[in-house]
Amino acid sequence: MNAWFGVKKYLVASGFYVLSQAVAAAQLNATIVDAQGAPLDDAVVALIPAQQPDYNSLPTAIMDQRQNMFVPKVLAIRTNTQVRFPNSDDVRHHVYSFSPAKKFELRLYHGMTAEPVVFDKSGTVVLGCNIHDSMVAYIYVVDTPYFAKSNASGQLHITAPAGDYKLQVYHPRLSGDYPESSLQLSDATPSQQTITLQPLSDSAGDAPTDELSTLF
Amino acid sequence: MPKFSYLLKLLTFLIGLVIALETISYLATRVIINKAVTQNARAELLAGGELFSRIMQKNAEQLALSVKVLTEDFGFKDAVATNDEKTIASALMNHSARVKADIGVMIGNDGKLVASDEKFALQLDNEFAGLQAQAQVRGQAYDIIFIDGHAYQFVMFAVKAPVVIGLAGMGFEIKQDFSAELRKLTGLEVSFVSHLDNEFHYLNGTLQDEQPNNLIAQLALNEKLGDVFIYDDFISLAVPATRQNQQLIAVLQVPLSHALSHFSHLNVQLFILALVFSLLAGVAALFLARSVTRPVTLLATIARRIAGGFYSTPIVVNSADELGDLARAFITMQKAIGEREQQVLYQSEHDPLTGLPNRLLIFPRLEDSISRSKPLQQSVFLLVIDIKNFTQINDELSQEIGDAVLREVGQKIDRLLNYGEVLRLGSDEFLAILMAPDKAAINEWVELIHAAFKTPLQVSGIQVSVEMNIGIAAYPEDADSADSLLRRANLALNHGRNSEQRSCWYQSGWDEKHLRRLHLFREFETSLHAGHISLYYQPKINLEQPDTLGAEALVRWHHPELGFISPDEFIGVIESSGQITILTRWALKTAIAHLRQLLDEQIKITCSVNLSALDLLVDELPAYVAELLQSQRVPAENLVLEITESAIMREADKCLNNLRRLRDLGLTLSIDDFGTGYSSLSQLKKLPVSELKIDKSFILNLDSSEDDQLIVRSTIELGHTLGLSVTAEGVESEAIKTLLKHYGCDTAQGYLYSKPLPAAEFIRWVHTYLIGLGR
Repeated sequence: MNAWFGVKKYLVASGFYVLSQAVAAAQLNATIVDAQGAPLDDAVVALIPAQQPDYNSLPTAIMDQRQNMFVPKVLAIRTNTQVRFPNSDDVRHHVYSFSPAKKFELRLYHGMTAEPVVFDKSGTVVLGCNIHDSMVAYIYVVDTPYFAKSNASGQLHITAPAGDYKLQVYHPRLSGDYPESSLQLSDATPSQQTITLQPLSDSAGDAPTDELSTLF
Repeated sequence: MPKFSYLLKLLTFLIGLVIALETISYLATRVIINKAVTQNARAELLAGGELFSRIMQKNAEQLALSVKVLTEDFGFKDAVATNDEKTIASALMNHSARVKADIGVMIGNDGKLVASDEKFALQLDNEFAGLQAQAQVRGQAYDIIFIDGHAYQFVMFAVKAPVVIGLAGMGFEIKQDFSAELRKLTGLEVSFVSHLDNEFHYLNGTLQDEQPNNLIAQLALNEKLGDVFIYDDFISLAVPATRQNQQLIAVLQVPLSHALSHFSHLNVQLFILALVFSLLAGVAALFLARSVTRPVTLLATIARRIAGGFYSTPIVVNSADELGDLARAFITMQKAIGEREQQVLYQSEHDPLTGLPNRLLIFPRLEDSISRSKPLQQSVFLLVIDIKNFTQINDELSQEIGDAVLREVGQKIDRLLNYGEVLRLGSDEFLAILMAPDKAAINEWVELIHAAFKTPLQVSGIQVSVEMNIGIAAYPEDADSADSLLRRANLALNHGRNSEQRSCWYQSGWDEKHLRRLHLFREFETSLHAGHISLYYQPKINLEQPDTLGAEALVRWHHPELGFISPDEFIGVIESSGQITILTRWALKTAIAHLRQLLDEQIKITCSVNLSALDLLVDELPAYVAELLQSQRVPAENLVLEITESAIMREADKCLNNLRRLRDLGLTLSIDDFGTGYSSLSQLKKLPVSELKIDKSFILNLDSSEDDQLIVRSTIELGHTLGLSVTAEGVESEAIKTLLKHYGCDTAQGYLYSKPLPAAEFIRWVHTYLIGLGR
């Protein structure tokens, strides 16, 4: 049952920062599907290099709150990324996380009043709003700058220097750990991967109805 | 009482009918009521079941709400997320207490369990597996769980932060209080039964004593859930306590008696109704019975009245029904019987020959007259009229003429009587009852009758002369009652007839004499057998040869109450009654026995016994005498039989014949009381007698009366001429004896020698006499 908590974390210290566009050496093209072969969006694939680069920079990411929903629903970030939680709704939100990777709480606030939160540990952070139970978001903190999130057709592209990597996959519906695999990227041809995620929980992320009548 | 029995029958029938009907109606009602009650109870149970499941749901909802509140609490989430067990436990306790839940549990994602009650947690095994699985998937779960023999309503929610970080749940124990509460709400007996591993176990409930065990036994027997069943006294419904879990069964029950209690007053009403109907039936029966018995009683009364001889009493009949018809028939019958009885009565009370009232009416009429005579200050005269020569008419002419004569005489007397009444007494006797102030009027009328019959009657073309004898007695002068009046009038008639008087008035004393005669007649035989009648003997002495002895046996009657009764009186009585023959036989037997005694004492003597005229008419007498003589071995010449002159006058031939037969036996016959009767010399000549006794009336004054001397002397000579010895009776003096001896009389009898003596004395006298003679 510990689908969300049991993810093994590879927190590798990274000593450098590479702009993916600038150092375009090798490319991974992956398609994420479920057991039935249907494409899955919001899946995050991270490639952990053998040599951890150092991170001196503090990039910023945004986890907005619109219409009582976190946007985006899944956010992938490198460790030591500062995430801002602007509130675009006219109601206040009380954003919290009890995830071991980052436990925090942003008490009721409006607009940009909340202080940014720095995620300094790799791992999965599940966000919730204490006021709005239906609000759920996932922040995957990874120890690498090479990661991507699948689009609606389940496709993602990662450009990284050629070399050996550990491949990690995250998805809110993924129960249990996705087995880590090794991947060698070469300059010559982009690596084409189809990653099947299973098992998947039925409606992970969708809060069950609160109707008591379903009890009886 | 026949009326009563009819009433009783009707009553029994009607009340029986009512009771039968009421019983059927009662039973039918019972069945319907039972059905209705069962249906009601079923509905009640189902409603109770509905209510019960709502309460259960409410409980669960309350519980769920509470658990939800708990799981949504940020602090709790925090505690769970940070795995702060103490905080979790206290939060569970706090929330459980808030909703009065019995237990709260928290299960972490790692499977670690935290409970509000540690002891409780220790007993847990894998009871939550189902709940957990469900809550994992759906975020919430509800079920009944059993822990250590207790049942709990349990709700479990996922703790989300916002993804599931654990499961929290709370449970209500289904306790005794709960069933009691339910009973209060539903009015039903509520029991909770677990059904685990095919075994029923009674958890708790409102049943008492043995009832839980019975229920378990019944459930094991009959496992149908959701259906109403009846056992013992309970209408029961067993339903699963929740939809989710069939292991907890709620049993709702209504005691039948309780369900029926609403109808018990109906039973009472039915019973009262039955009573009232029975009562009404009773009244109806009474009324009906009376409506029948009353006319029947009336008819019975009529019948009794008819039986009692009342035919003229009118009967009122109002009813127009069959009984009315019967009553009218009764009335017709009553009239008819009345008329017929009148006819019969008339016929029985009237003489068909003369049309005159007959003897049946004598006393009623006499008494009627007597009762009327007093206020009228008149006397009642009763005349007994007898046709003097009727027997002669009947014998010489014919019975038809006799009847015609009777008719004529009756009618003639009736015509002559313009007041009073004429009745026919019988045969040729008529009665006339007259009322008059004195005898004179009656004497006139009597003379009128005698005058009327002076001219002969014209009967069937021949002339018949009739004469009347009339006896008259008057009330109250001669008699004080109807029967004595009639008797005395009859006595007067008889007296008149005997004394040849045409009319004879009753003289006082006659009746007393007559009654005494009747008395003597009744007493005679008793006295004879009792020995009150005895034979006395008076010696007869031969004047020439004084040692030739004779004796006359004389009957003496010493009645213990009436005293000495003179033979003159009673001989006449028993002669007229015919008892004289008995006396004669007794006298003969006694005298012959005494003769035997005298002969045994060597006394030569003859004994005379008197015979009555009637004795001579009995042909058996000679044989009887012969037998007596023979049996006593007494020579016939020792017995003398004395007969009076008058005795031989009637049926002379027969008498003569018997006398000859007696004489032929060898005994002596003697004529007694000679000179007082009317015997003719020619007859005397024919009689086979040897002795003649001159009546004492000629002897008593012989020495002074020259007439008597003449008669006696002539009679003695006459007797001697006819070859008879002569005895004189009533010789009381020596002078008379001397005279008689002088006249040549053979034998003398009288007080000169001795008065009549009883047998023993007489024997002594004979001895003395014979000694006196010098023998």
